[in-house]
Amino acid sequence: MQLQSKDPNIQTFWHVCGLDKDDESILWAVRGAILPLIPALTDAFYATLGADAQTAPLIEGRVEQLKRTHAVWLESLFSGEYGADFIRRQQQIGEVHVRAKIPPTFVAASMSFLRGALPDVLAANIADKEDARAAMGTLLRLFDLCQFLIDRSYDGTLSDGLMNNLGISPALLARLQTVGKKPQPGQD
Amino acid sequence: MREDQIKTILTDLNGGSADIEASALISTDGLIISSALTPGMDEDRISAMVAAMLSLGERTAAELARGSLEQVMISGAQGHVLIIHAGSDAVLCTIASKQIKLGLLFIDASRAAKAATAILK
Ligand code: HEM
Repeated sequence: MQLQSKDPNIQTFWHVCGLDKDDESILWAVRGAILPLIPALTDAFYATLGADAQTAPLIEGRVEQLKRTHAVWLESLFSGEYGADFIRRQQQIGEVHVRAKIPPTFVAASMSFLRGALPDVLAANIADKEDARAAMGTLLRLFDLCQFLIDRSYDGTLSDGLMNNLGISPALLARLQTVGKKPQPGQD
Repeated sequence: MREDQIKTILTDLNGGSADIEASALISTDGLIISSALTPGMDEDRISAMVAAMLSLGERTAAELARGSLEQVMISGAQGHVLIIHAGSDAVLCTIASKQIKLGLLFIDASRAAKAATAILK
């Protein structure tokens, strides 16, 4: 799996999470077994969003259209292509959610839903246990990568966003984020 | 060795005038390269903020067609902070009292930045 990003934070994410070229072939091998199951998984996901008092109003009236885009996104995880276009697409999805005012916690909860649901789906539908186990590892990494990329849209770290206007590089932003808050008088 | 030389440049800068209180050389990513600060100054926070100020100054100068950035100057009731490039990857930050003659501050800081640039090359 080829990383095609010059952003040092994405590079480190990639190296530490352990995505490598085998991941492409792992997901490609199980693709045929999983793609037919995506509509049912998507239905279950939107049923969950529709049953929550806070998420339901956000998807109301557009569930069918959202199911389609969500299914296309899930399928893209099995496409074997995780290069620059894949990274850009996740950032774009982040921007769409920022504009739609979806709180990042809801996206995190949704990723968590998928992390929880996928092991059973893979175990039940992939004949080779080893393939199922390997595919789960790769998928979990991809979910985290997608969430990291989507989340970054919320704090304005996209290269064409606020930080770019301020001239702040990704490395300097990471520094500013981690340098710690100045203690305020009277605060513990 | 290189660290010692840079430290000497900073202590010389501070020692050159009673009105220069502290100085630091910082990478454009906001990491301290060397500092001669006074107690109570938070090295980590200063380095990140100074690099951010320089980045913002550069962007503003470019946006308003003022050419490449020469300096960012912050003046408060108690004194000045002068931020200038030391080569393309580092920034010299000089902290001076209100009494300092600004011409002198510019000359001393520019000289120190030039010397640091030569060492960093
Ligand atoms: C795993 C988490 C999620 C993924 C991967 C995901 C994926 C997507 C994708 C691919 C799109 C289409 C983007 C485009 O038009 O380019 C989209 C749009 C949208 N999503 Fe999500 N989504 C997630 C979570 C959520 C949640 C939790 C909500 C709301 C509770 C939500 C609400 C929406 C809405 C309202 C749009 C349409 C925005 C618009 O076109 O104005 N999504 N999502």
